[in-house]
Amino acid sequence: MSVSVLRELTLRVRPPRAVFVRWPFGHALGEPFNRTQQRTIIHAALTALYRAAPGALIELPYRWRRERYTEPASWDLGPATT
Amino acid sequence: MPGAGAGARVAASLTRRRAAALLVVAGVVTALAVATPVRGVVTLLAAGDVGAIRAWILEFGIWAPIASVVLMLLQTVVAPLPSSPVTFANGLVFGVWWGALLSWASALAAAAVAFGLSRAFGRPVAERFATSAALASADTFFARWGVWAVLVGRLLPVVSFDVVSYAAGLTPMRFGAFLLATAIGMMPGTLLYAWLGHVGGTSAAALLWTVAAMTALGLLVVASTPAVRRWLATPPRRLVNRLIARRLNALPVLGRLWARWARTAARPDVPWTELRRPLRRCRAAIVTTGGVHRTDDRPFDMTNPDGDPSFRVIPAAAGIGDLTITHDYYDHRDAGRDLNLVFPLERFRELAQEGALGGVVGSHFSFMGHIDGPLVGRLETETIPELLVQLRVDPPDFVFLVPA
Repeated sequence: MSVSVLRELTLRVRPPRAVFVRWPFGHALGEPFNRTQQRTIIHAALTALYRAAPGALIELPYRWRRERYTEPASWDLGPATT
Repeated sequence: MPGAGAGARVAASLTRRRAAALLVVAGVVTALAVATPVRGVVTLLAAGDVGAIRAWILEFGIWAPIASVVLMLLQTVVAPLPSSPVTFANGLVFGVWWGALLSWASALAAAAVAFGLSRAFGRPVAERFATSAALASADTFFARWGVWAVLVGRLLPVVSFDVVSYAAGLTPMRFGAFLLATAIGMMPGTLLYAWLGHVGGTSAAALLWTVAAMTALGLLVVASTPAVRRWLATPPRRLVNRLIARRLNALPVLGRLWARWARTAARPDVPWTELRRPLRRCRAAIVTTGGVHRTDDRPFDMTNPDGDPSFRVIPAAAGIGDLTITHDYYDHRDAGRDLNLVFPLERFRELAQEGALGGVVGSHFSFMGHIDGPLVGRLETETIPELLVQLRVDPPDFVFLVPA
């Protein structure tokens, strides 16, 4: 599972699953101390961990600072267990 | 609680004593300010007329040195009056050496008074003598440079002498250190100003040379401070790399161009394992290329232009304060403030605590993402196999890769 800030490079390396953000280098998870923003990206990546097709690069829609980040609704990811 | 009561009484009596002292100082200053002769002197100082100051000092005959000291003290308490006219006048009246010595000693006493006033009565009183805006900018300066700020402030002719003294009194700086830095920092300026006064104080060229010499001296001291020395000791190539890294952040298109040229391992297929466990039962390992490492670990090699293909192990229990970044090839000023941007260990530990994630494994791994030339081969044949061996020791359910 990889977060990517360089689309072209990630498409060449082909990690099993990747989420892409068009954000500056050194900011793969967002801005300093913006916990909700960082958790949003981690949540999107972990969702892709279960749902993405092999080699998929999922482009996330977040527009850096022009976004209102909210705490992800549920972290109950993956197959249901009894 | 008798102890607490006694403490409160001591504090109250201290406050009362301070208030009383404050009243006395305020009274003396007000009395001085309304007394007609002093008002005349203040006007004299404010006008900065060296000739008039000289005449005023000479009126006192053998008491002239005392008059000069009084002037110097007055210009400190009645900020923002400048001290240089008094120094000029001293040069005129007493000659270069004696004038400089007198100015130096009296300015030192004035600095001590200003420091003492703001140390004893705190910011509200200091703001009465120096403007709050000036003090606020001095605060930043002091937080960064400490006692060096005093030395530099004394050397640079553009920095207000009194603001430095009042601002220093508000910091935890020791009085002795403050006085020493002031005494040393004032020497060249006082001599130059006294000389300038002696030669007439009217020569534009002399004035220009004085200001230039003082600025050069100030810059010399700035250059010798530990932070700047470290910066100067950095090889130029590393500085260029950091500069390029910052430009890459400002112009993302450059980064994309770089990605086109960058060498990558060719992979025809996508390695794939389906993850069948729910997240709350999975354990994660984090791998970053952000150049993160323990502060007591070996930093990544920044001297080899091809980079460094090795990795560092970061224990899951590592505190954020135990980690640092060595990586000249991306702008990590933000990541340095919050490592989670490139190494989200804290976020993952939180998720584990909340029960969203099963946990994190014992060891996490960090690379320095700039690896080029022959080192790419070493990365593939030596480092990655070694990483896989280490990952197998405490195998995670998935690896979370974060780039720089």
